Amino acid sequence: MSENRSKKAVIGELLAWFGVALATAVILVALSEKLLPSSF
Amino acid sequence: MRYVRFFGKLLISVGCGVLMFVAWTLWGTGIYTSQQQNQLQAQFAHDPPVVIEAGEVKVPDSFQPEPGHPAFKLRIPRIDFDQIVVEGVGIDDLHKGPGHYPSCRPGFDHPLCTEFDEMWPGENGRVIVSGHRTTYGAPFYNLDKLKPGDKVITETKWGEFTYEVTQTDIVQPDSLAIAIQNDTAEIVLTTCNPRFSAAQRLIVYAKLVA
Repeated sequence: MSENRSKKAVIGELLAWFGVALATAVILVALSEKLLPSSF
Repeated sequence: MRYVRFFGKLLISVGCGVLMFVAWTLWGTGIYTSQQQNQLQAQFAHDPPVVIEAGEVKVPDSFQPEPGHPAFKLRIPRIDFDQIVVEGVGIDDLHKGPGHYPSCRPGFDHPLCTEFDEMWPGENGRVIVSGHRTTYGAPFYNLDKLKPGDKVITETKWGEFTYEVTQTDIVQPDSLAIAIQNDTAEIVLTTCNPRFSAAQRLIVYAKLVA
């Protein structure tokens, strides 16, 4: 299926998934700051 | 099939996010702390000396560093430790380095402060320093390696004071025993225990010897 897709579409999808990964990391960092004790 | 493919990509992305989080926690935070320590070293070098009266060490009440500002320098030769201790044990303070447990005053609120008088190195009382074990430069990563007799040296703006480790202890996280003051001139170092866990607290006691 991907053979028919343009380069632009593939790069767009990769960027979108990278955004998901980044958002996951940011959420985990924010949660860890709240949940872990300050001297962890 | 389309949904399975989407779900697979989602899992891979979230997995990458978890790896990024681990990388930031273990290494990225250390880079941040290292930069902060460089600034604190420069700031500490420029801070004016604190004049105290001869005889028993009593730091003037006017010496009240702001949260996150340099309090004194701590050296522990046994574990090759040499960092600036900042004032306060709040999250932001400990991101910069080990923190000196303050008395409750503007800028320091419960439970991250004590109602007892704030104790400084050299004084007759308990100086409490808390630090990260595994993140933000992991200043107290090797605190468990300290043995009785090891030296803990504090360089302050009113002199240098050497302590000697007397004992180590492991307590529950909610134990407040170390915050209780006494007349013994000592320094208490605390961190999470075991490494990569917050289940307990490791406490190292050291008595003033010089």
